[in-house]
Amino acid sequence: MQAHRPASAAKVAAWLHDAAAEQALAIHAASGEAEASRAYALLLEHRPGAAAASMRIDVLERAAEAGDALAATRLGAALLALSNGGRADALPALRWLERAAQAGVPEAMRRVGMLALQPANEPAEASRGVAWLRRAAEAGDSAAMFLLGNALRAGHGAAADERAALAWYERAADAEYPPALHALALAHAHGELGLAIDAAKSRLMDHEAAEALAHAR
Amino acid sequence: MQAEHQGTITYVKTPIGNSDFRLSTYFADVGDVTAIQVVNQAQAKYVKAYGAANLPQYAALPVLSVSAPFKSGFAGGGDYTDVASGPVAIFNAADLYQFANTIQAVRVNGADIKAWLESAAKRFNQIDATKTTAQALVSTFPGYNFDVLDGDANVRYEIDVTQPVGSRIRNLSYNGAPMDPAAMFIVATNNYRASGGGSFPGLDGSKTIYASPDSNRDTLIGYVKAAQSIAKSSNGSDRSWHFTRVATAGPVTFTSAPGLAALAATDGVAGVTQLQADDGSGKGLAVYQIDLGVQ
Repeated sequence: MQAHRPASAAKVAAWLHDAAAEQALAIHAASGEAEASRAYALLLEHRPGAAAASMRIDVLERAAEAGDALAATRLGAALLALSNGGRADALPALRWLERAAQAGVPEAMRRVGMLALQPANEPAEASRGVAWLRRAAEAGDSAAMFLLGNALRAGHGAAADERAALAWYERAADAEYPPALHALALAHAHGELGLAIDAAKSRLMDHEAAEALAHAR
Repeated sequence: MQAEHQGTITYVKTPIGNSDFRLSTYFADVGDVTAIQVVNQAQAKYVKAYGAANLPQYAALPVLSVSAPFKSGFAGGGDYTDVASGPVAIFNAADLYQFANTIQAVRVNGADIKAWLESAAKRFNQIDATKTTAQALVSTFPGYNFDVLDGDANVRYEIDVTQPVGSRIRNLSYNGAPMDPAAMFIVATNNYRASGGGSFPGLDGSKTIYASPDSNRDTLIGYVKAAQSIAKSSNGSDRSWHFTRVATAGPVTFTSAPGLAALAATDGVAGVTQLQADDGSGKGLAVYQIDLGVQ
């Protein structure tokens, strides 16, 4: 799911300047085609203004209601972005994300996990959050691998386990996820997570992070 | 190969501007912002400009910034940022910003910001003011996670090290008034922190409203180039935070490179004296005392 955005960025940039393409997309979206709806929503994300934002929610909602789990994921993320951080505020988003997570979308699993791990939540909910992060990580979501590593390192929602944290950081780093590469760069520099202090390895990880970030551009 | 090497050396020596002050992290743990303020200013300015052009929905939100002293003595007395006054070159920017992170902006509320600062304040041990023996101020919490919040001279807060972790941030204010826990802000930071690095509460990647392709370091370079000259009065003396004033019965100590007590005073941190020129670690560190009663 990570690749969803960058891969489409060039296409969207082209659509933004192509009124005919945009119109065609809007028509297909209106007729309820899931893929067109998601593409149109992505385009609307790049249009400024409240009208485009609310149109985007409408388009995603229709596709999500028709059963498209990827649209439900995007809808959940979009609703979260509009909320002000309150717990009640996040409920409509959570409903969509849980539906998409149950349908097997790794990003949705990760987002459900993230919501369950919010600081104000009860320990039982935090451990449910770690379980979702684990499912997302095992499904290949590199951001989930990193967040799972953080949770295991901090003992948040699970017993603290630095070795397991390191293993998940390494998996995310293998997937070139920059924050995980940076976590390893810092750990090598400071001798954390059971690693020896190794300035050269730290620089190498930082360099790989820079490459990965440049690659994502 | 030789030519390429030469080219790199020429590149890193490229001047980007001038500074009328020494930018260092020797006393960043006790409030010196000479090497941090300009990074925060650069990040905030960059995010503000991007937001004004591309994020009209957030136009009303104040833009703040956090940055940490990456080099804060972990490896010894040589492991500090130290940029002399005078010409500033590309390699100095690497000293000021050590890692190849990229800029990200997160949208958070005042309560999130307070929790963020509470996490950063884990940098300190809890100090018992009645204890007559020496107490070490700095904990094992890494310096790279000691985020310092700043903005446009409008942010103020205190760290009360006599309190336990989670209850140390006092008098957090924005624009002269207590920061409203429900008010929304944009905070400029890096991709590592915004994605959840350091496990700061609530930061998990979901609050990012802008993931820039540009590095924090390049942003700093751009800022200095645009300003041409940076000055202590406007880029290195706005202390957004200080310790809560408390008289302690015994000395509160920390380590830094030796012989620099006068620099702390020059940079506006009062009450710093050197106790021992060598802390015995063999890493070129001295023991200093800070009088929390004069902060």
